[in-house]
Amino acid sequence: MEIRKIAVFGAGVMGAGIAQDAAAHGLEVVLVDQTEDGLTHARQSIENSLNLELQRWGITGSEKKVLLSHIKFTLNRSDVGSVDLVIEAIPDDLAAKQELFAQLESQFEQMCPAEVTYVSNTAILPITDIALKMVNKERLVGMHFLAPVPAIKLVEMVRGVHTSQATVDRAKELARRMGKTPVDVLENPGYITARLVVPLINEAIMLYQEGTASKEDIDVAMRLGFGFNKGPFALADQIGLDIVLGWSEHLFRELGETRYRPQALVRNLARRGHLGVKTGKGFYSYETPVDNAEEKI
Amino acid sequence: MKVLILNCGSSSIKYKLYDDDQQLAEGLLEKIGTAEAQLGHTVAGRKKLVSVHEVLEHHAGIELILQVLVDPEKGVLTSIEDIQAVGHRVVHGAESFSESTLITPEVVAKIEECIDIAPLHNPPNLAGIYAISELLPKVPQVAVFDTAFHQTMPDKAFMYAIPYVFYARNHIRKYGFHGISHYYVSYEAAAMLGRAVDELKLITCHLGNGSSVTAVDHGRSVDTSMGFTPLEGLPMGTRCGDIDPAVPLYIMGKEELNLQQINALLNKHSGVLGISGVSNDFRTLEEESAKGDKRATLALEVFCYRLKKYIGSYIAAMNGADAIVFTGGIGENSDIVREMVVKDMEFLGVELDAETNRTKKRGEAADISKPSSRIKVLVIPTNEELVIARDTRRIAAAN
Repeated sequence: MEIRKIAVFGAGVMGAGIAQDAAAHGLEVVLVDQTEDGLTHARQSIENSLNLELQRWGITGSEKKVLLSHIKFTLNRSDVGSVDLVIEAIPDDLAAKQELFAQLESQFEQMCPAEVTYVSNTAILPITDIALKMVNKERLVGMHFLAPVPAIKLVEMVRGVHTSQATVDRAKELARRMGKTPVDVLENPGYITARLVVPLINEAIMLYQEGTASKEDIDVAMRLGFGFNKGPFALADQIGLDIVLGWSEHLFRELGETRYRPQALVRNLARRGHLGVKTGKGFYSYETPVDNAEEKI
Repeated sequence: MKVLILNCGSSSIKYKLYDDDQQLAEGLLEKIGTAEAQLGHTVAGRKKLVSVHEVLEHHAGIELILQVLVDPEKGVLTSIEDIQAVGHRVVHGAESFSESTLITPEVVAKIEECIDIAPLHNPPNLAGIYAISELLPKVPQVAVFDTAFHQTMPDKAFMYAIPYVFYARNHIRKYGFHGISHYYVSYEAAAMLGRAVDELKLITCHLGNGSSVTAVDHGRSVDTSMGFTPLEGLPMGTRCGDIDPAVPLYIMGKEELNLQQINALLNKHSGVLGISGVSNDFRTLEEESAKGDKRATLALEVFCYRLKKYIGSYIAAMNGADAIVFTGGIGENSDIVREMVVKDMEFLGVELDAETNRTKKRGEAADISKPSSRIKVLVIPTNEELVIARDTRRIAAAN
């Protein structure tokens, strides 16, 4: 059966991005968060992103309205109704994820006529561990989307020990429906993306701190020299420095190699709330997002 | 013979049911893919009925339409068996189809091959064909193509001056669209002029939200303004029409736009909407222009000037013309546009009767040129569904 309706739990940057992109590809989405603030912020960030796209001529005003009408924002899990697939996008806290999936499973197994597929958007945690409290462990799979979700055409498909092929196929169907290319990975720490990007960012910071080159020149060198879309500093800002910090802490703990060790500079910036593009300041400064581009059109 | 005509869009299905040339019912199902799909159904001589349904894909949509047609209260048929043939409007037939054709598995495969160059239009057209094959498996189906009429264009008219390999390998060439409408009005024009279509040179202007103009020489399309896609040619409601191809490249570089953004810019934000900043609706533009909005006036002027240039070039290409035909929502209803297009063309032998142009009744065909006009100016309401119904009947009866 075709995937028509999904629920996204957690309305942070990733949850809002997934909801927006799924709606843009014709899916019905229910976005659930625990706080009114979280939902308001998610709605605002989706609107900002659409306004920006409107200003960049990518969509029309009416397409923006249609897209927003496909996302239902709610605090109440019981508003979700019957869905084909559930995506969790809460912060990477193992116990919280285990608890959430146990609750979601008991809710949706009664409510949905067909088998529901469960997806964790974890960037680092093992799927087998997240599935610990679930009854149908074979129906959980990891889909690591990267931010900004609508712009990045990759999703890492992460299998746990129990994940069935049918579950992977179903999740890949969603990925393709959203215009993404899925790549298969085992649940080893950091998968492909975080595992490779953390040492790159760390090494770039060391180069900068040694005085070998400026941030700007390091970014230019990697962009023009190796065809990177963004250099390591701009990339870190786009990922979010809190996320980069979380990834390096996890990888350092799991793998023990110094190349993953969290950098003091990242820690300091994150502590001050300079998290990159999403807060307007990280390694670089960014203009604040446009509030209402529609009037200009 | 009772014939059902389907025009399946990405989220809508238009239908008409004919008994020979008589229309029995028509309707439009919109917002397919949602739980709030809306069906507007009208039976000739009765009030329009509007209802809301959950319709998640085209198959379910067509099932619903068939149910309504046989409904004892809303319908016009006693049994679904009464439908003797189904005609589909298919947007792109590429070089495979130069006329309407009976749908066979081979024909379906060829329409599927055209998805590559018509990714937005052919898939929903095919969805309609698949659905009827399942729901009415014994009923013959006919495909009537929007591109077929233009397949008579000579290669000098359809070839783009880019490396030939792109034509040979990727089938990139001018195809033209609105063929069913250009075909219909050229035959109607011949009837109005009391002459055979194969002795006439006609310029047919289909002006609606999408607009195109065609040179019809002795009943055959020899050139048309739309191209590989419907983006080429006249400026339209929201499409830019002819443009220096360097412009989008320059904008992409300057504004760092990606392919999807530049595509949307040219297709959805341009045309008379882009120039005026007011609307893509010509009635609104005419109202705003009358109130003194300079950009609304400019948008109308650009549109009409470009069409005038096309008419001039087609007169040159055919070495003359017997009539210019206006059709489509704007062509049929905007006396302002018609006047702006054909005025000051006396040199070429076009003399508008301004009074008849203004006072002509809506929905009626009319000759709006002066008796002395060497090139007649005609307004003819189009009827694409009737063409599809007639072709469907003819082909179904012969098979």
